[in-house]
Parts: sequence; structure tokens; C-alpha cells
Amino acid sequence: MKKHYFWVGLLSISILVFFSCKNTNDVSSNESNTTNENTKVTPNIFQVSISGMTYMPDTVTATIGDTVIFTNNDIVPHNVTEINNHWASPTLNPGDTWKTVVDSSSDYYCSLHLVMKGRISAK
Amino acid sequence: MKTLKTTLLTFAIILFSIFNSNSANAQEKPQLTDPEIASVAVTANQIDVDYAAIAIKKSSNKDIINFAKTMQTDHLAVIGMATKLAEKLHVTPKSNAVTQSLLDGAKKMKSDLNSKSGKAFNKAYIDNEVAYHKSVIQAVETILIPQTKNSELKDLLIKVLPSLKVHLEHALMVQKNFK
Repeated sequence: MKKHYFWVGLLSISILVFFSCKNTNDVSSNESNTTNENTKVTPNIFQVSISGMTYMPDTVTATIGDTVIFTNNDIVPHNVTEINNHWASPTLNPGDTWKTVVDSSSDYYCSLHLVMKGRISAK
Repeated sequence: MKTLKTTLLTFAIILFSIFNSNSANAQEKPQLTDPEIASVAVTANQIDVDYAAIAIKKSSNKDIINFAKTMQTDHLAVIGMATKLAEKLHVTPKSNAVTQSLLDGAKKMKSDLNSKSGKAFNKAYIDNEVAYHKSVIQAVETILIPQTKNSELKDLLIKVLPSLKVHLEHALMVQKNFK
């Protein structure tokens, strides 16, 4: 009978040790994922206000993948047009916003007011 | 061509004499009330909208048409804001000597523009836009803003000033193609 208790006890301990090790592995795996996610670079968001017939700021230095949001805070419509027409916003009426994801350095202007200019400088 | 030059010159002289800030005697400047300033502001904007309509109808040059469309959009936006504000403030724009002079000058200019076509029209239109914006900027800076009593009307005029200056720069840029 004593022998029987011994084997049951040993089996129980083995099961406990097994699950204990498994849980430990799971936790370390989760921690590892969390660490990887934390090290991922979150894209930045830059705001450009169109006001007083200027883009403010007129130069944004961003990383590829970042987002630039343009908001027309002026009293007249504007747009944001890449100088070689690679991309362009629609007409932005006062209060409108439009965003673009940075994929390269770009000079842009307002095709409605040709003297209004800005730049996105990609790092 | 001679007629146009004469008209441009006359119009410039009218505006200069109305708005000139360099006058030694400040008393020569027109003294305007807020309702009169509202009238001058709306009229000056409407005149440029009218010039733009003529350009869009008569010109086939894309730079001229682009500029004229922008003038139409921007000046109509300002008229809309001024009208809304006047309603809010219960101010009725009041016609006055400056408004009348502007309208008289514009009548002559529109007649001249309508008598032109092709390159001559494009040059006349853009030359006038340069002269007109220079005069209006001076008027807004030296007469309309300083004489406005109501702070909201004054703020609107201050907000409009950058757009007038950008219009002038844009007009000067287009004008280079028609020298």
C-alpha cells in the first residue's frame, strides 16, 4: 500500500512540474512577444496647419511610414499638390483635413495659390 | 492699347488718391464708419469677382484662367464672411464716396477689358490685377483696418490681408509671362 502511495505521489509531482514548466515557457513567450511589439516603431503623426496663406510648419522632417495631416484653418480653399503631381489632395475647404503617408521626400504647393509652398523631408 | 493704358492709369490715380497713405495730410484720407467700411470691403471684392468672370469667359490661357478662378473663389468667400458678419452685427453696408469711386473705376475697366481679346486681353487683365491688388492692400492696411471700430470687423480685415498679398504675388508671377 505504501508503495502505491509513493508512485501516486511521484506522478502528481511530475504532473505539477510539467505544467509548471509549461506555464513558465508560455509566460516567457508572451513577454518575448510583448518586447518585440514594444520595439516596433510606431509611426508618428505630424500636423500641418494651413493658415494665413501659409503651411505651418512649412517643412516637416518625418520617417517613411509617418503620417502628415493637413488642416485648412484659413478663410479660403486650398490644396496640397506634390510638385511633380505624384500626389495631390482634393480641394480643402476651410475646416477640412487631409492626410498622406510619407513614402519619400516631397516638395508641394497649393495649385490654387502658386506661391504657397511646403516640404516633407523624409529621413 | 492706348485707351487701356489711359484707363489703367486713370484707375490707378483714382485708387491712389482715395487710398494713398503717404499723403502728408492725414485729413485727406476718407473717414469711414463701420457700415461704410463694410460697403467698401464688399464692393472691392465684388469688383475683382467681376473681372475674374470676364477673364474666365474671354481667355484661353490656363495661367490666366487658373488665377481668375482663384480670385473668384477667394473673393466670393470673403464676401460671404463679410455679409455673415454684417448680419450678425446688424450692420447694413452703407454706400459712400469711396464705394462709388471704386464702382466708377471698375465700370471703365470692365469696358476696356471687354474690348480686348487674345494676348492683349490677358496682359490687360493681369496688369490690372497687379495694380488693383496693390491699391486694395494699401487701402486695407492704411484706411480700413485703422478706421474700423468693431473688433470682429477689424479681425476679418486683418485675416483677409494675407490672401490679398498672396494674390498680388501670384499676379506678379503670371504677369512675367506677358511682358
